[in-house]
This record gives sequence, C-alpha cells and structure tokens, in this order.
Amino acid sequence: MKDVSALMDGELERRRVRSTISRLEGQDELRDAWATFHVIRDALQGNAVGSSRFIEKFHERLEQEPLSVVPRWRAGLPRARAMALAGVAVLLVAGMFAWMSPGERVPPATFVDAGLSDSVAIEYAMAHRQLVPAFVAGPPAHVPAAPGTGATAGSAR
Amino acid sequence: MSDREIDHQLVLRAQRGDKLAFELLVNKYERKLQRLLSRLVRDPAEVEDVTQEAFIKAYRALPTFRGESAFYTWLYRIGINTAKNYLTAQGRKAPATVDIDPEDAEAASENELARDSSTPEQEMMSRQVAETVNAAMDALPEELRSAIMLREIEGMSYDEIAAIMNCPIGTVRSRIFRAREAIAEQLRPLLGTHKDRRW
Repeated sequence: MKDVSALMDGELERRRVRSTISRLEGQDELRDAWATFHVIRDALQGNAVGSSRFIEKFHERLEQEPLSVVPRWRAGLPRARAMALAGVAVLLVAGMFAWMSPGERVPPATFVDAGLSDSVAIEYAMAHRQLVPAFVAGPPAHVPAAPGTGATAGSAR
Repeated sequence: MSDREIDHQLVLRAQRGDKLAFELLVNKYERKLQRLLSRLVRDPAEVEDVTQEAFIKAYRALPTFRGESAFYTWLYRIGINTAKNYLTAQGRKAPATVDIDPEDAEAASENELARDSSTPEQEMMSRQVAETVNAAMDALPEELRSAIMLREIEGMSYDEIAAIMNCPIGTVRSRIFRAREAIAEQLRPLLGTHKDRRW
C-alpha cells in the first residue's frame, strides 16, 4: 500500500510503476486504498465527495461498453514517430512499385573521359571547323582560347 | 515518474482493453470533474449523470487520445462539451462564465470554481467525510500531519518536503503513507470497503 500512496503522488520509482499498477488491478484491498486515498486528497483540497455509488454505477455502465482498443503497435506511439513510420512505409511501398513496374530498364548514362586536355580538344575542333560549323562562332564561354590561335573565349569570328 | 506519466500509463493500459485501468482514472478524477461540471449543470441530480456520460464518452474516445495533453485536460474538454450538449438538448444555455482555458483546468478546478451544487444526501456525505478527515488529521502525530499537509494542500514534491522537514525522502514517503492509512482507517466505516463496493 505504501507503493500505491507513492504512485498516486507520482513519486514511485519508474521501474516499480508497472508492477504496482498490475498489483493495484489485481487486489481489492489496493484498489480500495487507491479510492480512499483519493477521497482523502479531495476532502483536504475542498472537493465535495458526492455520491459514494458513483464508481459502482460507472462500473455497471462500463461493463456494457465494447472494448475501446487501440492496436497494440500504435498504443503509446507519439504522433511524430507514428508519422515518420507512416512516411517510411509510403516510401517503401512506392519504391517497391517502381522496382517491380514492367518496361525496359535503361542503364544509367556513363561519361567517358577521352583523356584530352581542353586545349588539345579546341585545337582539334579548330582544325576541323569546316566540319563543325556550329563551333566556328567560337568555343563555349567556359573554354579558354587555344594557345596560338589568337582567339579569345566567346569572341565572334 | 510524474503524475501525468502515471495517468498516461493507465490510459495505455485502458487502450489495450484494460477497463480496470480506466476505472482507476475515474476514481481519481470523478469528484474533480463533477465539481467542474456543476458550474454548467446546476441541478445536482443531473451533474452526476452528465459526469458519468462524460467518462463514458472519454472511454469511447480513448483510441484518439495520444497523450499530447494531460489526460485531465483532455477529459475536461470532453466534460465541458458533454455538459453543453446536454444543456442544448434540454433547450437550455450554458453559463458564459464556464469558458475556462482547458490548460488552466487543473488550477481552476482547485482554486477558482464556485461552490458546487449537491443533493442533500451528497451534502451530508461530504460534510461527514470532511469532519472525519479533519478529526483524523487532528489526531495525527505532528510529523505525519505536516507531511500530508505539505503534500496535499501545498502540493509539494517529496523532495521539497524532505528539505523542509529535514529528513530523508524515504521518511517522507513513509510519513505520508502512514498519515493516509490512519485517516483511511477512520473513513472506511463511512465509505465502505472493497467488500461493499462493486468494481
């Protein structure tokens, strides 16, 4: 009963709370203590006691009620965690659908490095400019002028 | 574990189908909620019915309770709505003074609420309980009386009481329990024991 007293004050060690609540539910004497200790609290705080049959009447009504149950996995799950879990579940399902959808899978593009430096590439392009008219207007702005060509980057010819 | 956490533990159990856990919460808050609702529903005979209804509605709504607010704050809202709906159904209007912020419900119900109405039977019962508790308090040894007063009336934690009484926390725990036991012993003939009660 000492634990019941500490429990109702919110002063019971965390590790003993569950077992005390279980004992409280299993033993009439402890439930009686819980109820009476709360009557004492209310009397000392000036709350009227009211009908002593309140809980009995409520018990009868509650017996008629269907169980109001939350799925076990969700009980006690904070909203943020529940939403995060739901988000992960949606992503997983979407990923599964994407993976399983029919259609040709195109391998990802690869970039082959020819091993040429920028200046060599520009020299090559200038030498073949008649074959590459689009480039005649000048190399792209980010490409430096090829040494010895006298061309400035981005200048028109 | 705080008082709020204890309530949450009981709610979790009730959400898993444990009706007894919910009855422990009803046991804890029945008088507080009745007192609160008596501000809306003036007729004492109706207050108890509306309070019962509010607890049933709270039980049905348990799956929606996620512990973001204190259980009593949530219960308070349900209680106020139940009482307002009851009055509307009767073609009556709720007094405007009852619109208290739910977050202040704890303080309001303890400190500011007007005198509650009660039937002559309830009034007599209340008076008898109050007299018995007061007499039992007077008969307590000083250290037990101080400990329980600091806890129940001043609302202090065991830590604070231990500091004031200059004793270990374990002694505070023991004194408060012994005080409750001594008062309960005097109250039992009045309230009946578990043998007389149906749970």
